[in-house]
Parts: sequence; C-alpha cells; structure tokens
Amino acid sequence: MKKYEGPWTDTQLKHLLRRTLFGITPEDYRFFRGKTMDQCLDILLDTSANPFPPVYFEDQRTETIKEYKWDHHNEKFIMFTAVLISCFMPMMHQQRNIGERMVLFWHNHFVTRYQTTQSGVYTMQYFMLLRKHVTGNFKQLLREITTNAQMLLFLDGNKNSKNAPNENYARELQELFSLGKGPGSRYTEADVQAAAKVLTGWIVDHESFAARFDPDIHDITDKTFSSFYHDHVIKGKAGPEGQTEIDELVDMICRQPEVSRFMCRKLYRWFVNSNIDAQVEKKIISPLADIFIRPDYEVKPVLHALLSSDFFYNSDLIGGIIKSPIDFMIALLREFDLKNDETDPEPTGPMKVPFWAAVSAGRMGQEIGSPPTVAGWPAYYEDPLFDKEWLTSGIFGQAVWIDKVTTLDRTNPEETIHLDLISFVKALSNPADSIQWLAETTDLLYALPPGEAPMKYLQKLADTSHECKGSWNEVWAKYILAPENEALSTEIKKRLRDIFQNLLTYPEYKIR
Amino acid sequence: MNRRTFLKNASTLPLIWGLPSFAISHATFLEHIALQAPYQDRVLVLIQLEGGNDTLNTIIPLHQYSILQNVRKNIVIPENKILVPETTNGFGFHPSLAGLRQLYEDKQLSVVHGVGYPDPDFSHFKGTDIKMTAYVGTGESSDHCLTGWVGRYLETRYEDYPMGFPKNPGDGPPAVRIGKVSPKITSGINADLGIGFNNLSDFENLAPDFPNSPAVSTLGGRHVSDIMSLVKQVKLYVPGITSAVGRQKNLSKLYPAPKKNLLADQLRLVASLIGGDLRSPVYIVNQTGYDTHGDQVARTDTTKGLHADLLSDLSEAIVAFQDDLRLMGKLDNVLGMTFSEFGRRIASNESRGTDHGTVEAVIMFGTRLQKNFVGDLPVLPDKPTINDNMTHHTDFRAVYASVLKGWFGLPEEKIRTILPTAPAERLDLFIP
Repeated sequence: MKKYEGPWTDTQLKHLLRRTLFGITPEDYRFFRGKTMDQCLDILLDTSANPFPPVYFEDQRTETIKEYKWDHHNEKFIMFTAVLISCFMPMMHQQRNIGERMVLFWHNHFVTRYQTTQSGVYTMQYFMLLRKHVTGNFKQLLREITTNAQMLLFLDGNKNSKNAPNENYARELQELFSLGKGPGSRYTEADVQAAAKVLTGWIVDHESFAARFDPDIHDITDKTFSSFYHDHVIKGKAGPEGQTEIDELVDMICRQPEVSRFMCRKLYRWFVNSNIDAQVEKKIISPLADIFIRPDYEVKPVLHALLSSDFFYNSDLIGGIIKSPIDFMIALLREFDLKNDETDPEPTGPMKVPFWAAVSAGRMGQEIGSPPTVAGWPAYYEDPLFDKEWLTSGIFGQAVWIDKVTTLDRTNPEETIHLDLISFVKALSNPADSIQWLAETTDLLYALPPGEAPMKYLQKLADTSHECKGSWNEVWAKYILAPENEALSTEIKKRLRDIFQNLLTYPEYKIR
Repeated sequence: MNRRTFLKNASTLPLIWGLPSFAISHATFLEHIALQAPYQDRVLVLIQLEGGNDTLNTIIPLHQYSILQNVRKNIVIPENKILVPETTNGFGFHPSLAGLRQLYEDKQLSVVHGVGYPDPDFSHFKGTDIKMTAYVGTGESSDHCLTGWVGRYLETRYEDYPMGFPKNPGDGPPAVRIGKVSPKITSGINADLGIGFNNLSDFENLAPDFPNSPAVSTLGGRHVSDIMSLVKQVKLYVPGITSAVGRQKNLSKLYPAPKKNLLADQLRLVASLIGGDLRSPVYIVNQTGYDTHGDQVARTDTTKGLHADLLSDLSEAIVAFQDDLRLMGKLDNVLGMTFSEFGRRIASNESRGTDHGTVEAVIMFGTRLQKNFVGDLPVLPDKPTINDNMTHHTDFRAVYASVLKGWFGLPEEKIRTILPTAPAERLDLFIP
C-alpha cells in the first residue's frame, strides 16, 4: 500500500484529527500543529495510557452520584443513566488518541443492548472488555466477547445447551462478527448448527455477575464443519476442557482470509468512506487484509497502514462522512468546551452535561448502549444509503437541539447544556474582527470551506443590530472595555446566537 | 436520493425517443388518468413485524395441532385457549388476538397463509432486504437490489419525483415512513419516494434556509448539496403534513394512552394524516421485538409473555385504527398489510423460544377484502426435527403483485417491471 508522501498541511492534519478524534478543539490543533504525519500517528494510535473510566451510579438512599467500586457487589444494579454517563464522560474528556472512536467501533460491531440485561453491571463489564482490547488483538476480543456475560444474555448463549441448542449466537458469530455475508463467505446452515453445539454449556450466574462453563450441559459429540471450513472436525471434549472447543472454533473461523477482509471493509467504512468498489477492494482492502491477518489480527498495524495511506488523504474524500448523532454531539461538546460543572450544588449536578448529551443523541437516533439491531446502526451497513441514513432520521433533531442550546430564554431548566459563545469567541485569535474570527471558526468546525454566500450571510448577522447600533467590530470594542454593561453584553449574546444558530445548522457542519 | 442518476436520465430520454419531453409527459399523464382514476384515493398501510414473527403461534393450524403439541411443548397455546372463528377454515388465533378475530368475523380481515420464497435466507438483514426490495438474486435487474418494491411502484405514479413535486400545496409525499422503518422500501431507482419521521415535533424547528454554497464535486461537496436538497424537499411537505393533522383529530376511543403501545401511536398519526386528506398513497409503520429466541412465552403460562404482549399490541393498534378510519369515513379507502422477514422454526427450543424459520402468514385488513382466507394452510412434517421448516405455498412477490393489481389497479406490464420475478399467479384478494 502506498504511503502518503504529499505535503503535510493543515488540510491533511485536520482531516486526520476529524476522523480519529471527535471534532477538533483549538488546543488539539495547537498540540498537533508542527508535528509530522508519523509523529501524529504515533500519538493518535497509542491508547495504552487511556485510563479505564470511572463508573458512576446513583445511590438512592443518599441521593448522590458515587463512583462504583468493582471489588464489591453490594449494588446489584447500576442505573442506566449511570451507564450513559459512564460512556459519554470519557468521550467528552477524551485523550488525544483514537481510543474513543474505536470503543464506538467495537460497540457497533460486537453489538449488545442494555435493555436485554436491564443491568448496568453487565453493560459496564461489556464496555470494559471493549476498552481492554480497543486497539489490541481482534481474535482475542472475538474469543472473549463470545463468553462475555452481557453477550451470552443478549444472544441467548446462556440458553444454548446439549439437549436444546440455541443457534442465535452461532449465526451472528459468523454472519456479523467475523465473516459477514460477502461473496467470500460460504459457511452453511449446518455450520451454524455445528458452531451452536461447540458453544453449548455457558451460563450466567446472576449472583456473581459472571459467566461460567457448566460441563454437564455441554455437547460432547464431535462437530463436523462444511467444506468451506475444509471439513474441519472439532473433537467433543468432556469436563471443564469442553470450554477449549471455543478456542478451536475461533481459530478455525479466523483461518478464513475472508475474516480479515470483512473486518478491513468495516474499518474502511468507519474511517474513510462507505463506498467500496472493485478498485478499493483491490487497492486498499486486499493489502490491508494481508497486514491484518499476518501478525494474527493485531488492530494497530492495520489502522496505521490505513491512516498513513496515500488513499486516505485523497482530497476527494475530505468531508465525505456524514456525522452520526454521537459524532455531532461529542464534537460539539468538545469544540465548545462543555465540561462537567463540578460546582453545581445539586448532588447529580456534575453529571448533567453528559447525561443530557447522551439522551439527546439517543433522541436523534443513536443511543449509546443500544444500537437498534444486532448488526449495529443501519448507517454503517445499509447499502446504498450508509451514512446518508442519518439524514433521514437525525437531521431534524439536530436543528431543534442547536436552537435549545443557543437560545437566550431557556425554558426547560432540566436541559442544562448551554453553549458559552462569548468564551468560545474570546479564545479565538482575533475576536475584535468578525471577518477573521468567523473564518477561523469555520476552519476549525467545518471539514469543507463554506461558499461565499453563507459566509456573507454570517457576516451580515454579525453586523445586524438588535438594540445597540454598530458593526460587530465597533460593538465588540465597546463591550471589551465595559463587559459589565448589560445592554452591550446582551447585544453581543444576541448576535452570537443568530450567528451560531445558522453556522451550526448549515450542511457543512453535518459532515466531517 | 440519487439526483445524479435522475439528471442523467432526464437529459438523455428525449434524445433517445426523438420527442420533446412535454409530449412524453402528456401521453403518460393521460394514461395515468385513465388507469388510476378509480384507485386514486386508495391507501396502503404496511406494518413491519420486525424480528421474524412466529406464525405458528399467531395463526395456529388446528388440523395439525397434535404435531405442534409434540414439537413445541414448552410454548404451544393450549387448544382450549385458541380463538377459533365461527367459520374456522382450519385455523385459530392466538388468545391475544381477540380484536383481530372479531375483524375476521366482520369480514374485514384476511390471512394469506404460507407466504415465502424458494431458498429462504435465515439472516434478519438479508431477510428484511428481500421482503423490502423483492430482490432475491434470480433474474432481477441489479437496480432492484438497492430499491424497494414500494419505491419502484410509486415511481410509476410520481414520474420524475422529486422534480416538480408536490404538484399542489398540501399534497403529501408519495410515501410516509413512521418510526424506525428503513428507507430502502421506499427507494426508487432515482430517488427515495418516502419521507420518514417519528412525530410532528420533528418538524418544529427545521433548519433555516441555507444560502446556497456552490456545488463542489468532492464526496463532501455532494453530501452538502444532498443535505440542502433534502431539507428543501422535506420543507415542501411539512405544511401539508401539519395541516392534515390539524384538520383531522383522532376520533376513536379505542387507542391506549400514548407511549403504552408504540405501534398504536404510529397508527394514530397515520389515521389523522389519512383523515386530514394528506393524499399519500402509502404509509409504513413498524413494530419490533419479534426475534423471540428465548422467553417467547411466560414460564407458567404459554398464553402470556413476550410474544403475547407483542400480538396484543398489534391487535389493539389495528382495531383502534380501523375504528378511527370508520369514524372518519375513510375505512373503505384503506388496506392494511403486515410483513415480517421470516417466520420461525416449527419446533421450539429449550429456551421457550423459536429460532429463525421460513414461512410467514400475512395479515390483511380492510373492508374491500374478498375472502377471509387465502392460500393453503402449512403442511407440517409428521415428526419435525429441530431444523425442519415449512415450505411456502404462496410467493411473497405474488402477494405484492396482487396488491398492486387489485388495490392500485396497476396494469400487468408495469407490475412485471416492478416485480419481474413474481410468479404469474394473482390472488383474488379484493371485492371487484
């Protein structure tokens, strides 16, 4: 695969950051500016120091939010709100690396839904597992997710026994998690049934919240697979050894080169573009798949090859992904520096921002912890729409939400997210000059430069008076000298509201 | 929403045919009037039962009850609990379907048995795709793989959509999708002919009118213009949709309280859109949760549990919807029809559930239905194993073709382009 050797300018840097982080903050930009592509990639792909996020739960007795301790199980039930918060917090406060985007990738790949277990404990165990292998080894993750408690409960692995095989997981293991349904995947219905037998014997103990192997309900007959798997036979094993049959099953499946291709297509769609034609298949997917399968499914080398490839920086592809609701939400929270309000006196105060952000993204069609089907969100698999799917569901919600977070007369006190636009503008290099700061803002927030007409319109809004007369530059100059002057600050706030209600609903803000 | 194909077609057609474009549209316009007039106001409401409904516990074949008793011991509905209609035709309804049984007695409900297709696919996603696109990969044009049968049909009625639509202010879009219905089913070759939303509050604050950015040919640039066109397109229909709802309040008292039965909420909205004369010919709604691999029935009582709750919601929603349409004076104009990606296995599993199977029973409702009972009851093997499945009697494409012909009055040659691989048989579904 050809490595990118063209000029390394802001265009390429911002493209890389938009695809690996969620949005770009001014600090991110300053941090990476001046580094080479290889230096940037070394930092972006190093997830080793990412902390496991704290998990919070709501203590009903004291009505406070507390950190959940994994070493005791007194609290059987972590509230879903806590799950939402515990997933959104690390995204909002993400490290400068690809980790959070990969957590979401695995969540969309190895889907479970929290509604199945109704338990925050299982849901958080599941997310912890995704984090453990976030840029690690795919095969290892595939093996461990197979007997993860939440997954067993979600796809009925806990109901699969020698006298009563349940083939739900066995099917999805092949169809969705490893081989897919492409032309190179030719497993049979008999393979689904044979795999189901290998997978028998697992149960979930709700006292200890742990998955456990019970040899008594494991099918100890030999399992014969089709010619697609070269008539492989997995010898049935009695006793505790029976659980090692799964290792053999995962090995057998992963020996199919189609697994590597299937996963590389998914990564390509996640990071580059949803359209895969014969050219992409030959020039990108094939060489990537060779890299992936060689050191036995290590994820990091594949990401490195993809994100440093000549193809990735093709200028035609910049801005070519439509943001999902979570993309939109997390990028916006980061760009406008919305953090937890630690000073909020209410017990649940500090959690309000991530909670409402998670709930709002859910209303726009992407609820964390709960993809609509076992295949994930349709925007990542439904041909030919792919990410355009978000336009049919999420496009309305975004505009409503932007209106709520920028309005000056807030009516619903529960919806606590509010953009501090004055601080945002103050942090830019020249807030006194509206032509300059608007250009700087769109450079940072938009993946593609807007046309002349929208820029002129934003400029016009900056200069349009409410109560105080004067251009933006004049009013700002007065405001800076007397920030306590209510009339002036209200004027600035109103103009900023008008500008950002437009700027954030333009189509350019919906792509990355 | 593929404007490129559309523009390509629009610019080449008149050249190929050597006719000015207005002459073509005039001819097809006359043909349109002639063929469609008596069918113009008819509405089709599709209900997607997502997950694969267990047909054998929904519409229960009585003549083979003993086989069911043997192979689905842990989930079978006790014989004395099955709701058997007066004219039985050999089957009965799940006890949660009392409302539907009544519609059946009132000659407002038909069951099409044994609906499926050769070499069935057991994947939810392929199965759903096949039922939405009617593309099974045996001689259809590859265009059909990515377009829905509803979208292709609507393209025959809304030629050149979206160019020039809506024709009159207040007209509805060709199709309305409510809830989580895939746009695939309403996608035509040139454009998506449906507009999807969850509820009216989606429209409360649409994006402002964008000053036009010049078209940029990169992928991102095309997304930007697609977004602009989509918002413009939706905006054109919002006044019609909101005023239709404003014109017609729901009249039935049979709806449950909001948010209790999500399907009923969707159908309630559809009823007021139909009642308020939105004039959209197709509505699609969705009820999810039918993937009952485990705990399909309650531990102590097989007439209760997950599947029973789903069917009870289904029945309640349809009965209230029909009642509402009757009170609005629209009952005769509307045909309802369910579809599901597949049925489930004949034998149950030990988790009190059923795995993926093949054949479904399609439920239709409306006052113009001719028969209660269409197609043959499924024939079960004497001793089905855990892997045995039913074979279909009626191809799902024949059902679609029969609806296009009998309900919408579409001529055969058009049906053949929309559903090229549908068997020639047409079901006699409607009162002439």
